Amino acid sequence: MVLLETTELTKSFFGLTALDRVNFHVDRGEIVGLIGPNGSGKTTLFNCATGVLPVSGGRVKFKGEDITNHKTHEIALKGLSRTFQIIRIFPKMMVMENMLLAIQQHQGERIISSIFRTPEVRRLEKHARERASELLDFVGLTPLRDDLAAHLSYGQQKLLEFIMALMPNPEIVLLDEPAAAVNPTMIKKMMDHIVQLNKRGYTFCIVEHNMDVVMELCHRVVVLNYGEKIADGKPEEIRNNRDVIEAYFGR
Amino acid sequence: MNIVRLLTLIGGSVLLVGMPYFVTSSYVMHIIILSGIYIIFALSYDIVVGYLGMLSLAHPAFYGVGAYTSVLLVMKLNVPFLLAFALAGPLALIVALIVGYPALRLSYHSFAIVTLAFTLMMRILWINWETLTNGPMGIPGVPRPRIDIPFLGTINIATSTGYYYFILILVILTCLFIYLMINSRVGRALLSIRENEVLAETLGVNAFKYRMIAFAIGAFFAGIAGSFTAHYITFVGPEFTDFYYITMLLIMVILGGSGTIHGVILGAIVFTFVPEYLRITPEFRDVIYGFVLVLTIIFMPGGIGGRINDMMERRKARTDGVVRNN
Amino acid sequence: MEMFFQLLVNGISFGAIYAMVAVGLTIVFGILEVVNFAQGEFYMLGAYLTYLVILAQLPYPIAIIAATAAMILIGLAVERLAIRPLIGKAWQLPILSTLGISIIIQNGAIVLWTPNPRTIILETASKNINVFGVVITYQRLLIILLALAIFISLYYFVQKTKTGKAMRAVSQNKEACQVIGIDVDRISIISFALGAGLSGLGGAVVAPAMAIHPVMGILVVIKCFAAVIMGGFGNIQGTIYASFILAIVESFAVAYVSLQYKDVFAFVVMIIILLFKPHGIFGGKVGI
Repeated sequence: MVLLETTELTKSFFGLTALDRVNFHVDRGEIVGLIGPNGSGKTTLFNCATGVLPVSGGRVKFKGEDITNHKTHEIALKGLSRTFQIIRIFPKMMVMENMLLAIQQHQGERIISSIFRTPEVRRLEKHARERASELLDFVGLTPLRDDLAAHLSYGQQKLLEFIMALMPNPEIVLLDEPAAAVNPTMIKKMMDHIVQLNKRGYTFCIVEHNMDVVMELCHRVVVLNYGEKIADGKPEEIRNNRDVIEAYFGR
Repeated sequence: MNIVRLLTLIGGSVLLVGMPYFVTSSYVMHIIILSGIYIIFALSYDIVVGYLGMLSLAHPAFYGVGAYTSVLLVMKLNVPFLLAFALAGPLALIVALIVGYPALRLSYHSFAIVTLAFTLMMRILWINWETLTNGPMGIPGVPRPRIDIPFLGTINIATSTGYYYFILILVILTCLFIYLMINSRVGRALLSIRENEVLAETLGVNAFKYRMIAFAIGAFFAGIAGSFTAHYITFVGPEFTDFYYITMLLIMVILGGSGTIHGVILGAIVFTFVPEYLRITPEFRDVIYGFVLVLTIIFMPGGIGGRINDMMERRKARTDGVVRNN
Repeated sequence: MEMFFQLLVNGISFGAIYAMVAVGLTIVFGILEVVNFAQGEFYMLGAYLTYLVILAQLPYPIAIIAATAAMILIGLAVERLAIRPLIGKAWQLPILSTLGISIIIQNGAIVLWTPNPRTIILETASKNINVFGVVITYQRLLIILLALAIFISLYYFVQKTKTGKAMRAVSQNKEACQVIGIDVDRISIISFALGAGLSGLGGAVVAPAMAIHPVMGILVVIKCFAAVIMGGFGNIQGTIYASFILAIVESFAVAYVSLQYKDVFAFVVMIIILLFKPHGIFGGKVGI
């Protein structure tokens, strides 16, 4: 079942076409890799899909619903999470606080009741804390829960960003270069986490430059070059695809 | 709760409740009541400037709206005081929602300018709409609060003591509300917007909605402060939008410690007492305030509250001694 | 019909003043990314300094030059002491600093010169010429011609001189400029001093035409803010156009609608524009 899809998605900046009629989809339960040389439009695709950038043409659909140009927070509340190329966390707040900020979808919670802490709200907060503790435990960050996020190492911050994206129990998580600038041990850990979560039902779409990660992790790989989709298939097929090799290495 | 905390709490409560008996000078009582007003006013300002992180120059306007609302309701429509007072905050809140709806979409810089323009426009309105507001002379002879409780009689607030307990209750309620708000989802959302708006939005926070909420709540309490002031000094006029209030608010909030409840309260109290003991002309005093503002911003932008927080954090870090693994 | 042109000319002459002060604001914003809340006070100081020089029996042209030069120096000092230390920190800080400076200067003026308005009596100021029934005082003429000269010079400065081009570059991409060796600090201080000088000059030429008092800056600068927002932060041309538009609208509105609410019209126009185009009529920052 198709979870996220783009139809003829186009994005131009002042005459420069960053995305050119890209038709792209992610099915439920898949781990899809999105690769391509620098500047091919991968992050732009993520930004357009999540409402961070307005699209110039085409449509984005999530669970069959058109979400083109919807506001970012609305899209997030529908079940679509993402991480960023440059880590985005709240450095001046504690790790646990970062986690608690990631849950906004409290059904039927109104402002006044949240301020005055009705029993309903308190139950939801407790639930949020439990989930946060679970996730921190899952990735091994529990000892650091009361530390300032700024004091974490780069790899730990990446893990934090990762589990923050998981807090609202999303249906699909878009990861933008999760392995970038991370040491091999941590990469292996991250990959294990993704595999385990995928088994539990989470869908992933990963932008990555690290080919080992992509080849080992992904069920399917989509390749962009100069804003166009040039290939879409299993990792082995992509590895041997002429166009892909040309895109990366030239003729 | 350890013994020191308990004793401080008891001692503080006794002091607060028994204040009118400890303080014999009505002049000092007056300053204390004024500082109560400023605590509410400054805390309300901090919600917008500190927690939301936007430079609003509209607060004196909301203060004035609250003041004029309750005064006009009581004097022209014979509305009972309690009801009129209860409407001051909500009306200021509504005005804030109307102004905020277009204004909060603008860039931070445009927002500052537009809120300044709004305050000036309100001032011009109050000066010129003589039939409603009595123009530049203002409305003197504002009746003192008179609360009729059915079957129990009437409470007339006309003495220092009466006003003191009234403002004390208001201050406690305000602090309570703000404390609850800060530690609720609303407070966290505001913080996340201030720290990293794109990330907040990605996590599902509707930044615009929360901006409106913070702006409106700030205006609500400013309106309450304004209304109380009008019924205390028995006067309301366009002076309520004087630029002077912005100066005071900024100094109280910034020097006191933006984003910290205790810092802002401290700032409000200190800067209500200080000018009273500075026997100099208002303009000279304002020149000094200008310098204080500039110097604070350059050398201590976190304010005293910020310094206290730093000290407490450093103490905590020393005693924790956590081993970090990489 | 004469009335129409009279109002138009009045509007243009006020527009010239607003434009001078507003261009100073927009340049400072474009390069330092700071809204200078003290700009109105620079204007006010320019007027007072002119008054003081004339009081010392010196001729008016000397007064104009002296006032402008003094404001440039004051601008240099303010930038160095109150703004430079805050560049790069939270965006609210430099703005609040200028607010503080504005408070200092405004109240300082009240302390030094009392709130009583001063006036300058110049023989030539009240003389006027009559063009097709429209009365233009010499002072108004001076304002318009001077503004024209300033804007033309500014255009050449910004487009043709090395410093001017550097300023444009900085307003478009500060980091890139630092990398290629443009002294951003020097450009910043020049820009701020330029802004202060323009404002002071505005005050100097307006001084003989109106009452000089410590609060005269606020109402003018607020309209200049409106012009900057409408014209686009950092957009010199846009700001100039917007200043004239606002002044002309104000001039007509005062005559045909209401005198009491004179100062409100500029805001109303600004708010209406902002509702439809939050980035101003002429668009966002595209460099000066």
